[in-house]
Amino acid sequence: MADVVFDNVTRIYAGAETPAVDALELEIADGELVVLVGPSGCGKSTTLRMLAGLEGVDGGEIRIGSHDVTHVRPKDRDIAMVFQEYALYPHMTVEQNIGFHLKIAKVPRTEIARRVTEAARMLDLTPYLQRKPGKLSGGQRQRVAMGRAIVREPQVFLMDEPLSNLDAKLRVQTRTEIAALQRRLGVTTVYVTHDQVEAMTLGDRVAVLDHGVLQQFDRPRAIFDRPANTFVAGFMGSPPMNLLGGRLEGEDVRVAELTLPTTRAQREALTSDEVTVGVRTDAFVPAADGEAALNSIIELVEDLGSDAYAYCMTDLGGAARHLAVRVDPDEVPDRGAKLRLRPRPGAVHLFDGRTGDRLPD
Amino acid sequence: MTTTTHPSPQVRRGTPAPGTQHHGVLRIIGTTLTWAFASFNVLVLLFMLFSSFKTTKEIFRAPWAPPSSLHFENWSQAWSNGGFGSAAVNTILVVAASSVSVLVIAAPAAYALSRTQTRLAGGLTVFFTLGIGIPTQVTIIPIFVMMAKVNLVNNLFGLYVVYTAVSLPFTVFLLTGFFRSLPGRLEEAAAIDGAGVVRTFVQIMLPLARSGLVTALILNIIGLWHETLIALVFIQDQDKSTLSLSLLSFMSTITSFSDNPNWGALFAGVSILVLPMLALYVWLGRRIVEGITVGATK
Repeated sequence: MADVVFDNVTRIYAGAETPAVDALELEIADGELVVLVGPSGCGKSTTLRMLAGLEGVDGGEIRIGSHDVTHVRPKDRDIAMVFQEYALYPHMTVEQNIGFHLKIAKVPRTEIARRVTEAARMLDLTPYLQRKPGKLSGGQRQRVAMGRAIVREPQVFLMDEPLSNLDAKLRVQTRTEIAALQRRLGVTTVYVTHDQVEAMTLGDRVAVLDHGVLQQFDRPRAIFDRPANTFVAGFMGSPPMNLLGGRLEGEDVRVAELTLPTTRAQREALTSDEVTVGVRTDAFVPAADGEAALNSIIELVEDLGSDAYAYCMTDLGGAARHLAVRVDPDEVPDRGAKLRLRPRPGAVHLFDGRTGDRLPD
Repeated sequence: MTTTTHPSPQVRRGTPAPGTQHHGVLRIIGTTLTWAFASFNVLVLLFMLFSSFKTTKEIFRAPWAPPSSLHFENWSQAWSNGGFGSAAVNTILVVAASSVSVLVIAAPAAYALSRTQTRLAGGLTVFFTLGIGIPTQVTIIPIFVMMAKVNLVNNLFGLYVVYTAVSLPFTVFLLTGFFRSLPGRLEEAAAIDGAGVVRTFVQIMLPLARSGLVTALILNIIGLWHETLIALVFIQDQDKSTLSLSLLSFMSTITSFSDNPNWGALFAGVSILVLPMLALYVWLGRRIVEGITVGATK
């Protein structure tokens, strides 16, 4: 087991103008599960593939434990990887698939059998050991891919969207199984996903990437509570945070009728008088009569049973804007209903309108 | 206890997707042409088989009728007089050795070409493809001169070398496309599992390319089995001749040195050449289609 360090790591693809991964700095602690999350093309898979040795590194250094592995071949890095499409060898049985590395590493046959049996037991694969991958369900294939990783007892697990080929129900179930397994084995794990729910539920810490640049690296709760910029605010959370354009007038930020107080530190950090105001869907409350409010008309209601969201059109002083608002699931309003909303005091996030960076609290 | 009966799958025809049942003019023409082509080939085959059991007189009297009695002596005459016995052994040896050698050389070459992204690899792929386009007739004289210099003319080993060489371009071309269609993720998984390039090729990619390899093997066997021009140029001795050469000389003996040529025996000779390949095709034909169409879906 070991920690993993990305030290100023850069990857530029041939012919590309901008780096796929730009000066990435990440320190992953021993035994930690870190999730890399971001939209397609953000560089998360490239980062993982550089750690695996499947991708060259154009600048910087990657260390596993105390070893610099930047230019070390994949097989000498002591890592195991679970691929999105599982990449099981179709002509080999489950047993051969799981034991392939051990066989190459010339582990004695009895030891291979013991470790494969143990991994199969852990993953409920014992009845399927003699089957080929083609005869397995998606969930079983996914577990074989996990088994292939576990049996190696590596320093680091790498997982590249391992759940994205499963149906929704199985995905949730397997997610908890992976989390439990990782905690039990205590192996440092780097997990790539585009699904922010997976990131929030699985990660000890989450690294949010966009356009090859690390946006924020923190515990899931901290990322949710204090997003570092408007990208993170808009990406993490479902539905995403509402971001409204406002303007600094005196000491307050003004959004349509609303005025929101700012601190001195916030005003000093601003690069212009443009402020982006972020409000989570559950941070809206009905405004009392006579109180300043955002006047909204409900266009669509999503009732999920335990949660309900109203998607509204709001007039922001001439410009119409969509708002997502969590409403009481027991009293779901109708489409076309009018809401007068104001954000709960203290639940407002302020960002610099130009740079998108979070203003100090 | 009662049992419910379901209509058998043959009886119940599922409703086709809308628009797929449209019998356009093109479809009718296509179906007609396909059936006409297939029937013509079956008729030619039947004509050959029927004639091989007939006397010459019967062939000319009733060319399309089944034989009235089976003249097996046609077959024995062709086999012994035509020298088909030793020719069959020569052919099997040369064709088997060449087809296997071609695969042994072409498979690694095709794999390397399909996975290398350099300019050199691109150029080499084009080079191999060009080989398909150059007709044997053009290169056969220079090849003969070269082979004569190393004493490999009128020699079955020499024929094997030439067969292997001329079969390479198409085989490399076919297999390059095939290897390209195999997922690269498996190689990455193998690399992480610790497999080197050779082990990845032998233990992972080759087994996956099995249907492509079988296709290439069969196509080469069929092509070389019937090959006449190169054999005619390179082989002079009767005891070294291949089946197609024997048939050729048998045909000239029958037609030119006899007042009463035995056409039945000639057709028996043709059948001896054609039937093994037909059997191979019936046995492995489905594999060939699978191999050629791989990558068409998915």
